[in-house]
Amino acid sequence: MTATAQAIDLAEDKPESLWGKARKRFFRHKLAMFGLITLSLLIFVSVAAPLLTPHSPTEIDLRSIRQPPSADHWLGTDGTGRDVLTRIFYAGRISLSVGLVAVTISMIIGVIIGSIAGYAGGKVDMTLMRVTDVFMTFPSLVIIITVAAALGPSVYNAMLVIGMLTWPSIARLVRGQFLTLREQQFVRAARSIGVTRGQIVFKHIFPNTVSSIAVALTIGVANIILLEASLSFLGLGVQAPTPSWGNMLRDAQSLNILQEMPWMWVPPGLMIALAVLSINFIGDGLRDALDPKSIH
Amino acid sequence: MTENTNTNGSQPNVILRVEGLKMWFPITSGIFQRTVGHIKAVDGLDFEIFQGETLGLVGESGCGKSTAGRAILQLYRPTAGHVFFDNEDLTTMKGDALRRQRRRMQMIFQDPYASLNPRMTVGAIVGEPLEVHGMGNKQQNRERVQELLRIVGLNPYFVNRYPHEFSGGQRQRIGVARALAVNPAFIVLDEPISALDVSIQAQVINLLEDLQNEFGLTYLFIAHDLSVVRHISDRIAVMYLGKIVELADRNELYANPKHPYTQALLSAVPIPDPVIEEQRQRIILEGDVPSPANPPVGCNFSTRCPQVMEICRQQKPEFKENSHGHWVACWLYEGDGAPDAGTQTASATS
Repeated sequence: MTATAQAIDLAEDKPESLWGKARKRFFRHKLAMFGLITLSLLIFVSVAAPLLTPHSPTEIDLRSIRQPPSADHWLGTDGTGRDVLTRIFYAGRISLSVGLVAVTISMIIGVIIGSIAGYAGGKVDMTLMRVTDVFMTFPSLVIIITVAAALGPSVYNAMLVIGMLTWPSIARLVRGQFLTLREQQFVRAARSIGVTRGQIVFKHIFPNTVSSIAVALTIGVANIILLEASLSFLGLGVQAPTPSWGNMLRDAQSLNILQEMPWMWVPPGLMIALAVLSINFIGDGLRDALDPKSIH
Repeated sequence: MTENTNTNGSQPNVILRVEGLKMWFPITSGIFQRTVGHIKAVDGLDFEIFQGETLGLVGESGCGKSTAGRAILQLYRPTAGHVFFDNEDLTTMKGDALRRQRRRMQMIFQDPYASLNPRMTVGAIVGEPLEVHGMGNKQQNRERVQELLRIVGLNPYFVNRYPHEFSGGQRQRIGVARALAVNPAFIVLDEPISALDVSIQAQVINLLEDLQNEFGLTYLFIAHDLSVVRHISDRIAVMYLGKIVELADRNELYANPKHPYTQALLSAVPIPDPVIEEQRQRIILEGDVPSPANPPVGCNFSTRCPQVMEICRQQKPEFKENSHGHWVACWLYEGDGAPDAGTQTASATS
């Protein structure tokens, strides 16, 4: 070995990094790829909406109310003559960004609280977890209705409130991970070497929680899109005339519309289902891809 | 302890001195986490380790030997007692001072699968102590890591690989390389081979011995395998329920075990000679180890000792030097006729 050891060229032995391997596994995951493509399409049509349709989402045309799909209006028009397809595209902007912003808020709070509780343990942990429990017991719809009543319903309030109400589950998850990892031998080994506390958290514990957080994040986005839809459906989220998938469904409440005019409610419902499904699939793929021990 | 006040000329240097080390873990209950009792995992240890020697620490599962190792390195904050490393008390050190001391004392862990961060490359793992203690620049550290891998018998080629790509024995070598990185003087080996295959155990043991000779290391070798401990240790301490019951030179301990627990322990070791093995008489201990949350009032071993006396149940025996370098905590050897009593009991039990 000595002869080869002298002459080794380390550049030759550079196996892929963990992230590289994870990326490869992810791209080979069929459902995840389906999810990624679908979600990309949804994002694309929302962002590029003005280029894709000649109509405006708020343009009222009282001459053509509740028209079935035609060459001019591919998915027909709604109760005030607005183009449904256009509204669906624009609604994607709202629904997806509510999901993203709210999940970011809940992620930041959840990760901070969870990691402090999990790493510190003892009394700190107990106090923080009881606070988390209290937040978990809040009936979220009731709180959101109250806030909407007090501050007035708006997209921003919806984002904020949803974010503030969904962090406990992430905090619990992160805390659990920290609790287990903190007692792992490699963390103890790091401590015995003399690694500082901050480095233990950021270099040894946190990277090992990333995969579960990523999964929780995707599922969180999906849930929040659903929550926003229900809020808007109840009239407490995004306000007309701004379109969101949820408040488009709200416009289609009457039995007559449900039975006779499916173009007004099937497409937005389908979009919600597609968005939630594709994000969940991505989460599934991430979970499989980010496990460093899977050998594929 | 009598001769530990300073290191006299005839004695080798004391590198580590443990005085009255106790590590109690609170038992909490109720929603307010009230402490209702203590697990006395380590309940008063006194011993010293000399420069360059290997002190074996043996005992059955749950006797507190791993806890002792961790408490010595201050991975747990001891409940009471002192640990003097190079005459500096580690138990009163905090923060940076302690971190700086960690450079000179390292630990090798039992489970080579759990003790390496799965998300770090071998190079990052072995190089981490260098980085933490700010030794050398990037280039120097890379070379040092390669050198370390070579020292422990791994191909330096492996620096960019991840732990899961290695076998158990190789991983343990990575752990050894990490411990060696900062040139420590003292290493606690916490059952370093019990998670390995028998065929690999010998290799790792030989590696550890070679490294000790080459770098003049001092080991505290924690194990439950008596034959391995006998092979590697200079002196051996036997632990039972949080206390050291006997400490002596290796040969002395195996030839002349004094404490009834040591005698029972040694009688369980098979002898690789069929004729003698035939005659080997096992001392079978009755009952179970008492709970460390509620140890006996008297001697911790009094509930199972085949030679228990009245006093054993009432008072704890002191850990005393019985003959030169042979320490034992047992009422059988209290008083002046100690050595005689020793031979008597030895013959009585065999």
